[in-house]
Amino acid sequence: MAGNKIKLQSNDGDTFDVDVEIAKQSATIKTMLEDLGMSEEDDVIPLPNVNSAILKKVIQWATHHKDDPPPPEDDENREKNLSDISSWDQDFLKVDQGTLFELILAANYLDIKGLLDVTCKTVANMIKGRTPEEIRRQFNIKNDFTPQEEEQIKKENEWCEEK
Amino acid sequence: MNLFRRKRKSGTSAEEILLNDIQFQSLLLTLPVEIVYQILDYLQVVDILISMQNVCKRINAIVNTYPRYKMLDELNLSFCTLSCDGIQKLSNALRHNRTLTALTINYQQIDSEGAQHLARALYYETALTTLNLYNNQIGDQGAEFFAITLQYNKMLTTLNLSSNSISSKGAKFIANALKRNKTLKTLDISVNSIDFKGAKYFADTLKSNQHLIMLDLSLNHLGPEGAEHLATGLKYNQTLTLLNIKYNGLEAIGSLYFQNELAKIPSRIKL
Repeated sequence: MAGNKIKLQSNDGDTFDVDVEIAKQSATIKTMLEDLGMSEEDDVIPLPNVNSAILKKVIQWATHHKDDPPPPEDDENREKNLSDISSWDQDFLKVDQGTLFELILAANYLDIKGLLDVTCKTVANMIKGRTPEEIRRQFNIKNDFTPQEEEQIKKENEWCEEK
Repeated sequence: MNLFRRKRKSGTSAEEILLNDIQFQSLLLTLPVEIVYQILDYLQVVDILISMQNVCKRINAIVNTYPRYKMLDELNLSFCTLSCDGIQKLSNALRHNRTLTALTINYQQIDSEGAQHLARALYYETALTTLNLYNNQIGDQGAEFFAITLQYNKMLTTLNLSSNSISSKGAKFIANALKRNKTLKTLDISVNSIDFKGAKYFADTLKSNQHLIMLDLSLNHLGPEGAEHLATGLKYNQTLTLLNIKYNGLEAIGSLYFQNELAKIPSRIKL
Protein backbone atom coordinates (compact mmCIF):
# COMPACT_ATOMS: atom_id res chain seq x y z
CA MET A 1 0.00 0.00 0.00
CA ALA A 2 2.89 2.31 0.71
CA GLY A 3 3.43 4.98 -1.85
CA ASN A 4 -0.22 5.17 -2.89
CA LYS A 5 -1.46 8.69 -3.20
CA ILE A 6 -4.82 10.34 -3.02
CA LYS A 7 -5.92 13.78 -4.08
CA LEU A 8 -7.34 16.23 -1.54
CA GLN A 9 -9.11 19.32 -2.79
CA SER A 10 -9.42 22.49 -0.72
CA ASN A 11 -12.44 24.76 -0.85
CA ASP A 12 -10.62 27.19 -3.11
CA GLY A 13 -10.05 24.52 -5.71
CA ASP A 14 -6.39 23.56 -5.23
CA THR A 15 -5.59 19.86 -5.30
CA PHE A 16 -2.89 18.20 -3.20
CA ASP A 17 -1.35 14.75 -3.73
CA VAL A 18 -0.90 13.06 -0.39
CA ASP A 19 0.32 9.61 0.71
CA VAL A 20 -2.64 7.51 1.76
CA GLU A 21 -1.01 6.61 5.06
CA ILE A 22 -0.46 10.27 5.87
CA ALA A 23 -3.99 11.24 4.89
CA LYS A 24 -5.41 8.45 7.04
CA GLN A 25 -4.33 10.28 10.20
CA SER A 26 -7.55 12.12 9.52
CA ALA A 27 -10.29 9.83 10.78
CA THR A 28 -12.69 11.65 8.49
CA ILE A 29 -10.67 10.81 5.36
CA LYS A 30 -9.99 7.29 6.61
CA THR A 31 -13.72 6.69 6.96
CA MET A 32 -14.37 8.08 3.52
CA LEU A 33 -11.79 5.77 1.98
CA GLU A 34 -12.84 2.66 3.85
CA ASP A 35 -16.58 2.96 4.22
CA LEU A 36 -17.40 4.66 1.00
CA GLY A 37 -14.98 2.47 -0.92
CA MET A 38 -13.46 5.34 -2.82
CA SER A 39 -10.82 4.24 -5.26
CA GLU A 40 -7.59 5.88 -4.39
CA GLU A 41 -6.16 6.67 -7.78
CA ASP A 42 -8.87 8.48 -9.61
CA ASP A 43 -11.12 10.27 -7.20
CA VAL A 44 -10.54 13.61 -5.61
CA ILE A 45 -11.66 14.02 -2.03
CA PRO A 46 -13.24 17.45 -1.63
CA LEU A 47 -12.74 19.19 1.71
CA PRO A 48 -15.23 22.06 1.57
CA ASN A 49 -14.36 23.30 5.08
CA VAL A 50 -10.62 23.80 4.56
CA ASN A 51 -8.80 26.36 2.44
CA SER A 52 -5.50 25.81 0.64
CA ALA A 53 -3.25 27.62 3.11
CA ILE A 54 -4.61 25.64 6.06
CA LEU A 55 -4.70 22.35 4.18
CA LYS A 56 -1.03 22.85 3.32
CA LYS A 57 -0.25 23.33 7.03
CA VAL A 58 -2.30 20.30 7.99
CA ILE A 59 -0.49 18.12 5.43
CA GLN A 60 2.84 19.47 6.69
CA TRP A 61 1.90 18.50 10.26
CA ALA A 62 0.59 15.07 9.26
CA THR A 63 3.71 14.35 7.24
CA HIS A 64 5.97 15.14 10.19
CA HIS A 65 3.83 13.02 12.53
CA LYS A 66 3.22 10.08 10.17
CA ASP A 67 5.15 7.61 12.32
CA ASP A 68 3.65 8.67 15.66
CA PRO A 69 1.90 6.01 17.71
CA PRO A 70 -1.86 6.59 17.84
CA PRO A 71 -2.75 9.02 20.65
CA PRO A 72 -4.19 7.41 23.81
CA GLU A 73 -7.88 7.55 24.58
CA ASP A 74 -9.02 10.34 26.87
CA ASP A 75 -10.25 9.93 30.39
CA GLU A 76 -13.44 11.80 31.02
CA ASN A 77 -13.40 14.63 33.53
CA ARG A 78 -9.69 14.59 34.04
CA GLU A 79 -7.30 17.40 33.71
CA LYS A 80 -4.88 16.78 30.89
CA ASN A 81 -1.19 17.41 30.78
CA LEU A 82 -0.32 20.87 29.56
CA SER A 83 3.44 20.78 29.50
CA ASP A 84 4.58 18.53 26.70
CA ILE A 85 4.44 20.23 23.34
CA SER A 86 7.34 19.07 21.20
CA SER A 87 9.68 21.76 19.98
CA TRP A 88 8.78 20.94 16.36
CA ASP A 89 5.10 21.54 17.16
CA GLN A 90 5.93 24.73 19.04
CA ASP A 91 7.72 26.08 15.97
CA PHE A 92 4.97 24.81 13.69
CA LEU A 93 2.36 26.69 15.74
CA LYS A 94 4.19 30.01 15.79
CA VAL A 95 1.46 31.48 13.61
CA ASP A 96 -1.03 34.30 13.91
CA GLN A 97 -4.20 33.67 15.88
CA GLY A 98 -6.35 33.44 12.76
CA THR A 99 -4.27 30.55 11.44
CA LEU A 100 -4.19 28.86 14.83
CA PHE A 101 -7.97 28.90 15.17
CA GLU A 102 -8.43 27.78 11.57
CA LEU A 103 -6.10 24.86 12.30
CA ILE A 104 -8.23 23.94 15.31
CA LEU A 105 -11.39 23.96 13.20
CA ALA A 106 -9.70 21.99 10.42
CA ALA A 107 -8.31 19.43 12.88
CA ASN A 108 -11.78 19.08 14.33
CA TYR A 109 -13.44 18.70 10.94
CA LEU A 110 -10.81 16.26 9.65
CA ASP A 111 -10.79 14.51 13.02
CA ILE A 112 -7.02 14.51 13.52
CA LYS A 113 -6.76 13.98 17.25
CA GLY A 114 -3.05 14.73 17.64
CA LEU A 115 -3.31 18.06 15.85
CA LEU A 116 -6.46 19.04 17.72
CA ASP A 117 -4.76 18.20 21.03
CA VAL A 118 -1.66 20.25 20.37
CA THR A 119 -3.55 23.28 19.03
CA CYS A 120 -5.98 23.25 21.98
CA LYS A 121 -2.98 22.98 24.32
CA THR A 122 -1.45 26.02 22.67
CA VAL A 123 -4.60 28.06 23.29
CA ALA A 124 -4.78 26.79 26.89
CA ASN A 125 -1.22 28.06 27.38
CA MET A 126 -2.37 31.47 26.16
CA ILE A 127 -5.06 31.47 28.88
CA LYS A 128 -3.18 30.11 31.86
CA GLY A 129 -2.21 32.65 34.50
CA ARG A 130 -3.89 35.61 32.81
CA THR A 131 -6.47 37.95 34.30
CA PRO A 132 -9.86 38.31 32.60
CA GLU A 133 -8.77 41.72 31.27
CA GLU A 134 -5.64 40.19 29.73
CA ILE A 135 -7.78 37.42 28.21
CA ARG A 136 -10.01 40.04 26.59
CA ARG A 137 -7.01 41.78 25.07
CA GLN A 138 -5.36 38.53 24.02
CA PHE A 139 -8.42 37.20 22.20
CA ASN A 140 -10.01 40.47 21.18
CA ILE A 141 -13.08 39.94 23.33
CA LYS A 142 -15.46 42.74 24.16
CA ASN A 143 -16.45 43.18 27.77
CA ASP A 144 -20.21 42.86 27.38
CA PHE A 145 -21.37 43.14 30.96
CA THR A 146 -24.12 45.69 31.20
CA PRO A 147 -23.52 49.17 32.62
CA GLN A 148 -25.51 48.14 35.70
CA GLU A 149 -23.18 45.24 36.29
CA GLU A 150 -20.16 47.48 35.76
CA GLU A 151 -21.70 50.01 38.11
CA GLN A 152 -22.03 47.34 40.72
CA ILE A 153 -18.35 46.51 40.42
CA LYS A 154 -17.49 50.19 40.78
CA LYS A 155 -19.72 50.52 43.80
CA GLU A 156 -17.98 47.61 45.41
CA ASN A 157 -14.67 49.34 44.93
CA GLU A 158 -15.95 52.53 46.50
CA TRP A 159 -17.25 50.56 49.40
CA CYS A 160 -13.81 49.14 49.93
CA GLU A 161 -11.95 52.39 49.52
CA GLU A 162 -13.94 54.02 52.30
CA LYS A 163 -12.28 51.74 54.78
CA MET B 1 -14.34 29.43 6.80
CA ASN B 2 -14.35 32.69 4.89
CA LEU B 3 -14.98 34.40 8.16
CA PHE B 4 -11.44 33.62 9.19
CA ARG B 5 -9.61 34.26 6.00
CA ARG B 6 -6.93 36.85 6.30
CA LYS B 7 -4.44 38.52 4.13
CA ARG B 8 -1.50 36.24 3.66
CA LYS B 9 1.06 39.00 3.82
CA SER B 10 2.40 39.66 7.24
CA GLY B 11 3.53 43.07 8.37
CA THR B 12 0.11 44.60 7.88
CA SER B 13 -0.61 44.34 11.56
CA ALA B 14 -1.96 47.88 11.84
CA GLU B 15 -4.41 47.09 9.12
CA GLU B 16 -5.35 43.86 10.81
CA ILE B 17 -5.92 45.58 14.10
CA LEU B 18 -8.12 48.11 12.37
CA LEU B 19 -10.02 45.32 10.69
CA ASN B 20 -10.49 43.61 14.02
CA ASP B 21 -11.70 46.78 15.66
CA ILE B 22 -14.33 47.26 13.02
CA GLN B 23 -15.58 43.73 13.23
CA PHE B 24 -14.72 43.13 16.86
CA GLN B 25 -14.83 39.50 16.01
CA SER B 26 -13.13 37.31 18.58
CA LEU B 27 -12.00 34.05 17.04
CA LEU B 28 -12.14 32.34 20.40
CA LEU B 29 -15.84 33.12 20.67
CA THR B 30 -16.60 31.64 17.24
CA LEU B 31 -15.32 28.20 18.21
CA PRO B 32 -17.96 25.54 18.85
CA VAL B 33 -18.57 24.95 22.55
CA GLU B 34 -17.17 21.41 22.42
CA ILE B 35 -13.82 22.72 21.19
CA VAL B 36 -13.68 25.35 23.92
CA TYR B 37 -14.32 22.51 26.38
CA GLN B 38 -11.35 20.67 24.88
CA ILE B 39 -9.18 23.73 25.47
CA LEU B 40 -10.43 23.98 29.05
CA ASP B 41 -9.50 20.32 29.54
CA TYR B 42 -5.88 21.45 29.68
CA LEU B 43 -6.40 23.98 32.46
CA GLN B 44 -6.72 23.48 36.18
CA VAL B 45 -10.15 24.31 37.53
CA VAL B 46 -8.62 27.06 39.66
CA ASP B 47 -7.01 28.58 36.56
CA ILE B 48 -10.38 28.53 34.81
CA LEU B 49 -11.97 30.23 37.80
CA ILE B 50 -9.35 32.96 37.98
CA SER B 51 -8.73 33.58 34.27
CA MET B 52 -11.98 32.80 32.47
CA GLN B 53 -14.79 33.75 34.85
CA ASN B 54 -16.18 37.21 34.04
CA VAL B 55 -14.32 37.74 30.77
CA CYS B 56 -17.60 38.13 28.92
CA LYS B 57 -21.10 36.69 29.03
CA ARG B 58 -20.56 34.00 26.41
CA ILE B 59 -17.47 32.66 28.17
CA ASN B 60 -19.32 32.68 31.49
CA ALA B 61 -22.09 30.67 29.84
CA ILE B 62 -19.60 28.17 28.40
CA VAL B 63 -17.58 27.88 31.59
CA ASN B 64 -20.67 27.46 33.75
CA THR B 65 -21.78 24.46 31.71
CA TYR B 66 -18.32 22.88 31.52
CA PRO B 67 -18.56 19.56 33.41
CA ARG B 68 -15.35 19.78 35.43
CA TYR B 69 -16.18 23.33 36.45
CA LYS B 70 -19.73 22.45 37.39
CA MET B 71 -18.37 19.87 39.80
CA LEU B 72 -16.29 22.50 41.54
CA ASP B 73 -18.25 23.06 44.71
CA GLU B 74 -15.42 22.89 47.21
CA LEU B 75 -12.06 24.47 46.79
CA ASN B 76 -9.17 24.02 49.16
CA LEU B 77 -6.23 26.30 48.56
CA SER B 78 -4.43 25.55 51.79
CA PHE B 79 -1.44 24.03 50.07
CA CYS B 80 -0.98 26.65 47.39
CA THR B 81 1.13 29.75 47.64
CA LEU B 82 -1.24 32.64 47.29
CA SER B 83 -0.19 36.25 47.13
CA CYS B 84 -2.54 39.09 47.97
CA ASP B 85 -2.82 39.58 44.22
CA GLY B 86 -3.97 35.97 43.91
CA ILE B 87 -6.58 36.50 46.60
CA GLN B 88 -7.83 39.52 44.72
CA LYS B 89 -8.11 37.60 41.44
CA LEU B 90 -9.88 34.78 43.23
CA SER B 91 -12.27 37.20 44.90
CA ASN B 92 -13.11 38.81 41.56
CA ALA B 93 -13.81 35.38 40.10
CA LEU B 94 -16.17 34.47 42.93
CA ARG B 95 -18.57 37.10 41.68
CA HIS B 96 -21.17 35.52 39.38
CA ASN B 97 -19.88 32.08 40.34
CA ARG B 98 -22.78 29.83 41.15
CA THR B 99 -20.96 26.58 41.74
CA LEU B 100 -18.43 27.10 44.50
CA THR B 101 -20.04 26.67 47.91
CA ALA B 102 -17.06 25.96 50.17
CA LEU B 103 -13.73 27.73 50.18
CA THR B 104 -10.86 26.78 52.45
CA ILE B 105 -7.66 28.80 52.62
CA ASN B 106 -5.64 27.73 55.65
CA TYR B 107 -2.05 28.40 56.69
CA GLN B 108 -1.59 31.34 54.38
CA GLN B 109 -0.60 34.91 55.01
CA ILE B 110 -3.98 36.48 54.27
CA ASP B 111 -3.81 39.91 55.89
CA SER B 112 -6.43 42.60 56.27
CA GLU B 113 -6.08 43.53 52.61
CA GLY B 114 -6.73 39.96 51.48
CA ALA B 115 -9.63 39.84 53.92
CA GLN B 116 -10.97 42.98 52.31
CA HIS B 117 -11.02 41.34 48.86
CA LEU B 118 -12.73 38.22 50.17
CA ALA B 119 -15.23 40.21 52.22
CA ARG B 120 -16.03 42.26 49.16
CA ALA B 121 -16.73 39.09 47.16
CA LEU B 122 -19.14 37.98 49.88
CA TYR B 123 -20.81 41.38 49.92
CA TYR B 124 -22.60 40.64 46.67
CA GLU B 125 -23.83 37.47 45.07
CA THR B 126 -21.72 34.40 45.66
CA ALA B 127 -22.81 30.84 46.25
CA LEU B 128 -20.38 30.40 49.14
CA THR B 129 -21.90 28.89 52.24
CA THR B 130 -18.67 27.89 53.97
CA LEU B 131 -15.55 29.98 54.31
CA ASN B 132 -12.64 28.60 56.27
CA LEU B 133 -9.72 30.96 56.89
CA TYR B 134 -8.14 29.08 59.78
CA ASN B 135 -4.64 30.27 60.59
CA ASN B 136 -4.20 33.47 58.64
CA GLN B 137 -3.41 37.05 59.66
CA ILE B 138 -6.57 39.04 59.00
CA GLY B 139 -6.41 40.85 62.37
CA ASP B 140 -8.97 43.30 63.78
CA GLN B 141 -9.17 45.22 60.54
CA GLY B 142 -9.89 42.07 58.56
CA ALA B 143 -12.54 41.18 61.12
CA GLU B 144 -14.11 44.58 60.52
CA PHE B 145 -14.32 43.90 56.77
CA PHE B 146 -16.04 40.60 57.38
CA ALA B 147 -18.35 42.27 59.88
CA ILE B 148 -19.51 44.72 57.21
CA THR B 149 -20.16 41.87 54.82
CA LEU B 150 -21.96 39.73 57.40
CA GLN B 151 -24.60 42.40 57.81
CA TYR B 152 -25.65 41.91 54.19
CA ASN B 153 -24.66 38.41 53.18
CA LYS B 154 -27.53 35.93 53.06
CA MET B 155 -25.68 32.79 51.97
CA LEU B 156 -22.84 32.11 54.38
CA THR B 157 -23.67 29.62 57.11
CA THR B 158 -20.19 28.70 58.37
CA LEU B 159 -17.31 31.06 59.00
CA ASN B 160 -14.01 29.98 60.48
CA LEU B 161 -11.74 32.82 61.59
CA SER B 162 -9.80 30.73 64.05
CA SER B 163 -6.21 31.75 64.73
CA ASN B 164 -6.29 35.11 62.99
CA SER B 165 -4.86 37.60 65.54
CA ILE B 166 -8.28 39.02 66.39
CA SER B 167 -8.66 40.90 69.69
CA SER B 168 -11.77 42.15 71.45
CA LYS B 169 -11.72 45.13 69.13
CA GLY B 170 -12.30 42.91 66.09
CA ALA B 171 -14.70 40.73 68.06
CA LYS B 172 -16.85 43.79 68.67
CA PHE B 173 -17.36 44.34 64.92
CA ILE B 174 -18.23 40.70 64.30
CA ALA B 175 -20.54 40.45 67.32
CA ASN B 176 -22.42 43.59 66.33
CA ALA B 177 -22.77 42.41 62.73
CA LEU B 178 -24.32 39.18 63.93
CA LYS B 179 -27.17 41.13 65.46
CA ARG B 180 -28.30 41.81 61.88
CA ASN B 181 -27.21 38.58 60.21
CA LYS B 182 -29.85 35.88 59.92
CA THR B 183 -28.02 33.09 58.12
CA LEU B 184 -24.73 32.33 59.87
CA LYS B 185 -25.05 29.20 61.97
CA THR B 186 -21.48 28.38 62.90
CA LEU B 187 -18.80 30.83 63.90
CA ASP B 188 -15.36 29.63 64.92
CA ILE B 189 -13.29 32.44 66.31
CA SER B 190 -11.12 30.33 68.60
CA VAL B 191 -7.37 30.77 69.10
CA ASN B 192 -7.46 34.54 69.04
CA SER B 193 -6.84 37.09 71.79
CA ILE B 194 -10.41 37.99 72.76
CA ASP B 195 -10.76 38.97 76.44
CA PHE B 196 -13.73 39.69 78.72
CA LYS B 197 -14.69 42.79 76.71
CA GLY B 198 -15.13 40.70 73.58
CA ALA B 199 -17.13 38.19 75.60
CA LYS B 200 -19.47 40.99 76.59
CA TYR B 201 -20.10 41.90 72.94
CA PHE B 202 -20.87 38.31 72.08
CA ALA B 203 -23.13 38.05 75.14
CA ASP B 204 -25.10 41.06 73.84
CA THR B 205 -25.35 39.40 70.46
CA LEU B 206 -26.64 36.18 71.95
CA LYS B 207 -29.52 38.10 73.46
CA SER B 208 -30.81 39.21 70.06
CA ASN B 209 -29.40 36.73 67.51
CA GLN B 210 -31.60 33.65 67.27
CA HIS B 211 -29.83 31.97 64.37
CA LEU B 212 -26.36 31.02 65.57
CA ILE B 213 -26.10 27.38 66.58
CA MET B 214 -22.41 26.97 67.29
CA LEU B 215 -19.99 29.51 68.70
CA ASP B 216 -16.40 28.52 69.36
CA LEU B 217 -14.47 30.90 71.60
CA SER B 218 -12.00 28.37 72.93
CA LEU B 219 -8.35 29.32 73.48
CA ASN B 220 -8.99 33.01 73.98
CA HIS B 221 -8.54 35.11 77.13
CA LEU B 222 -12.14 35.39 78.29
CA GLY B 223 -11.43 34.84 82.01
CA PRO B 224 -14.06 34.50 84.75
CA GLU B 225 -15.54 37.89 83.93
CA GLY B 226 -16.02 36.95 80.27
CA ALA B 227 -17.69 33.72 81.35
CA GLU B 228 -20.10 35.67 83.49
CA HIS B 229 -21.10 37.87 80.55
CA LEU B 230 -21.64 34.88 78.27
CA ALA B 231 -23.68 33.02 80.88
CA THR B 232 -25.92 36.06 81.19
CA GLY B 233 -26.31 36.28 77.44
CA LEU B 234 -27.35 32.65 77.28
CA LYS B 235 -30.31 33.31 79.50
CA TYR B 236 -31.98 35.13 76.63
CA ASN B 237 -30.87 32.89 73.80
CA GLN B 238 -33.01 30.07 72.43
CA THR B 239 -30.94 28.63 69.60
CA LEU B 240 -27.29 28.15 70.50
CA THR B 241 -26.58 24.49 71.12
CA LEU B 242 -22.82 24.48 71.29
CA LEU B 243 -20.65 27.03 73.01
CA ASN B 244 -17.01 26.15 73.33
CA ILE B 245 -15.10 28.17 75.91
CA LYS B 246 -12.40 25.69 76.82
CA TYR B 247 -8.95 26.97 77.74
CA ASN B 248 -9.97 30.48 78.63
CA GLY B 249 -8.61 30.73 82.17
CA LEU B 250 -12.12 30.51 83.63
CA GLU B 251 -11.15 29.05 87.01
CA ALA B 252 -13.79 27.56 89.23
CA ILE B 253 -15.78 30.73 89.62
CA GLY B 254 -16.25 31.16 85.85
CA SER B 255 -17.53 27.64 85.47
CA LEU B 256 -19.94 28.24 88.29
CA TYR B 257 -21.84 30.87 86.33
CA PHE B 258 -22.54 28.33 83.65
CA GLN B 259 -23.48 25.62 86.06
CA ASN B 260 -26.15 27.89 87.46
CA GLU B 261 -27.48 28.57 83.96
CA LEU B 262 -27.27 24.98 82.88
CA ALA B 263 -29.22 23.84 85.87
CA LYS B 264 -32.17 25.76 84.49
CA ILE B 265 -31.92 24.54 80.90
CA PRO B 266 -30.22 21.16 81.00
CA SER B 267 -28.81 19.35 77.98
CA ARG B 268 -28.90 22.29 75.65
CA ILE B 269 -25.40 23.63 75.90
CA LYS B 270 -22.24 21.62 75.74
CA LEU B 271 -19.28 23.42 77.09
